[in-house]
Amino acid sequence: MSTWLTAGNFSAYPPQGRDLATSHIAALRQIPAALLPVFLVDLKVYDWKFPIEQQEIAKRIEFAGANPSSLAGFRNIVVPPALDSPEKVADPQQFLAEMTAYLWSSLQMDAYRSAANQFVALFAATEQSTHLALHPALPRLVMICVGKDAKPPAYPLFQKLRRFGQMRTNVRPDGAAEALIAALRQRAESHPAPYAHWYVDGGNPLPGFAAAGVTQIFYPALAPLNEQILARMESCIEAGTGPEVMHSQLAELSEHTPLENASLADPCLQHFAVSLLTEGSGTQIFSTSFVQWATREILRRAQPATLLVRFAPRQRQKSFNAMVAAAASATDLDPDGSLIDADMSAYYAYLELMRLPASENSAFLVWFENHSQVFVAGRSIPAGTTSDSPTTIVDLTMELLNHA
Amino acid sequence: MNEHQRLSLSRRDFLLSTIGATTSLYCSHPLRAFASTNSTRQKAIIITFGGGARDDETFSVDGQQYIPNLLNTLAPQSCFFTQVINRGILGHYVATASIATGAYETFDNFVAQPPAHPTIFEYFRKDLRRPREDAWLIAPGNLFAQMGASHNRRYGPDAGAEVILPKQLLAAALGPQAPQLDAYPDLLRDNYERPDMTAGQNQDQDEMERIVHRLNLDPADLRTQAATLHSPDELSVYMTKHVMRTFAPSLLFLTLHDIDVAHSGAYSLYLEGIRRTDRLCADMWAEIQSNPEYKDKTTLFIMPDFGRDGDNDPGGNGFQHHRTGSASARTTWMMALGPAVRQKTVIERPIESIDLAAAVSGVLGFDAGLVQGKRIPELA
Repeated sequence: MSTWLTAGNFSAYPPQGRDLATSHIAALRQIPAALLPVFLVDLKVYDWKFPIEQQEIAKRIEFAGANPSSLAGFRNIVVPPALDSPEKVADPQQFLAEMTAYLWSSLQMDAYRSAANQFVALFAATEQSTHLALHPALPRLVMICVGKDAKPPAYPLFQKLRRFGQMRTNVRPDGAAEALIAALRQRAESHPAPYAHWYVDGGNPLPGFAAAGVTQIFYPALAPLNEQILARMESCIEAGTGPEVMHSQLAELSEHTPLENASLADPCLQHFAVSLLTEGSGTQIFSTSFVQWATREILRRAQPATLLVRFAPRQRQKSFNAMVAAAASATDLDPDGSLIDADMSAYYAYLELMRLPASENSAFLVWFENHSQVFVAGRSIPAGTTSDSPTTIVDLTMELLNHA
Repeated sequence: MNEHQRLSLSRRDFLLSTIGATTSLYCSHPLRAFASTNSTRQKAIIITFGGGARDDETFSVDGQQYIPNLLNTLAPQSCFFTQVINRGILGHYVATASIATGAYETFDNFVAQPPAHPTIFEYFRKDLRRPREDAWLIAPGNLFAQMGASHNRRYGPDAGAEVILPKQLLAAALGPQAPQLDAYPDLLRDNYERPDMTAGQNQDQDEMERIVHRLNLDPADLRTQAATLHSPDELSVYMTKHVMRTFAPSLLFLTLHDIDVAHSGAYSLYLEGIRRTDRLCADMWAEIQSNPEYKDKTTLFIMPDFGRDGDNDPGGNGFQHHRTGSASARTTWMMALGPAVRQKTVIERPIESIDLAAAVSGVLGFDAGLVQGKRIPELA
């Protein structure tokens, strides 16, 4: 247990995180040192978390404090005195990096993983009832566009998804993009809430997109941020400081967002965008990796009611240096490879969606952009089936949502 | 049944149906996959994949399309171990070093340093009094530069392997007057876990120049060949073949790394890496069969250093990383091929990745006293 924790240890934390920590200090003292950095990382950036995340962080701390037996597995993990010290609280990212390295090198990672699974399961079980209150007012709707500029592939699309829903092979492509935007706009207007409706695009937004109440992230618009992050990465790599130092330096960017030319007015969204570029691997170079990671993190962290995602072609693979240089303005693109990336990413988005509360009511749609192939999954959709009946995206989304 | 066993059974069932293999489970006696061999004549080649490939993209029904050579050409000739568990640190350098020492190394994966335990190269050379050119390591980058010998005082660099870092060697061979590595962009592709932007800068220029001289590499020929290669692993295999044709070493350890592009999050590039690795493994086997110094006296071991995270593990991001320590990340497979290996044999019982060192010592007949991995009876 971290019995040495005091309110004073959090003096350098941002105000909301500091207040939460000091008001829950007794609960935090229950947490064994092996797990403590995970909680501290959340507290250090608490002020920029999405509202639903903030609720969950507070509840997790309260649960740990009220249910010390849920932490039993972590108490069996041996931690050296240097990692069980108040000095570590000020920089939780560094603390976490050191703890992770120690757990691997002391061959205790399996024990940690087992303890973590136990804690997560117990916490989730107690959350089951409260999740009913957290159910979204709208059934969730995730819409994904893949394959911009790609040729129809020789392999069957959405192979991993098919067992969860239906392949529609005769969907009118004209008007489809507009229908997706309209669905997003209507839901944002009828159920406005902070960070409830999102649009992420790996390229420039779809023509005609304009929607109030929609949180937007467009990869090209983040170029100024990305260039600064890449510059930090390059200087770290050239200095030979190693990935831990680089990760630490990038984490500082994420924590303090001291970047010039902030691309997003909302500090919370700005912080989120920086975290996507600093914590995601490959997100700085490949738009497909960025969109995949953004989708996963939006679903996991913001738990949105509506999410429209569009993959754009990423740059073609080259040497690392060449790709860094071309990250902001790549012209040599790989649309066919990007379709494969996006197909797998859509599968991961579905898995993440299914982890959210009320997932059984969710609706999910993937469209091969400008083609007639669509995958749909939802409560009313017979899984593992294919239909070649003519239809439109408008009809499909209505069908999905009417039965959700 | 735990997750390690489930993965193992999946591989077993698939191989049984595909290649008509037998399995030790159904035999009344443990199979001796190796016949009695004359160790003094034997050679051993080890190929590891840094950037383990998951079953989903290899030995599962969905994955078979990506490994036609491993599946249709090599597996039917092999003794296949369906459940190889890596219980150590899941970082590529430290894991590969652990395979080479037969003991779980615990150093910082991102710092180039010699392993703590003696390597198979040192055991082999010291125990059998073999010259340096009889043991070679071809490794993907600077991080692996000191993997050829431990800092164990009874062994150490004097008993270690010759080490080739192909990109650095290419740069040294081309010389300061020749076009630099930037002229070969495909060979500078790197993984994204630890991008090596200084690939063209030799850590030890003198050492690379010494090896260039030993290998008698002709810069003009090298320039021509390099222009035909499309990835760092293709360069590694090219260098490996050159070593085989020049010195015919008895112990050769090749570490491939293209698959690790998965860290970039681009699934298509990960699949491309698997396809290329599959082709290069078959290419190496063909080289063994066509080189009289190796044909009929070489055991080839092929083994990913570990797996990658599973799609359903919420703590990971699927194929992209190997950070969760889950069964999918820890469990992999191994195949052994060679004249003394009983073909079409599937071994289901679990072994560990560090057991490979003990198996190599058995093949080559050297004493590996400090190896912590266990002998593999089926290969004893």
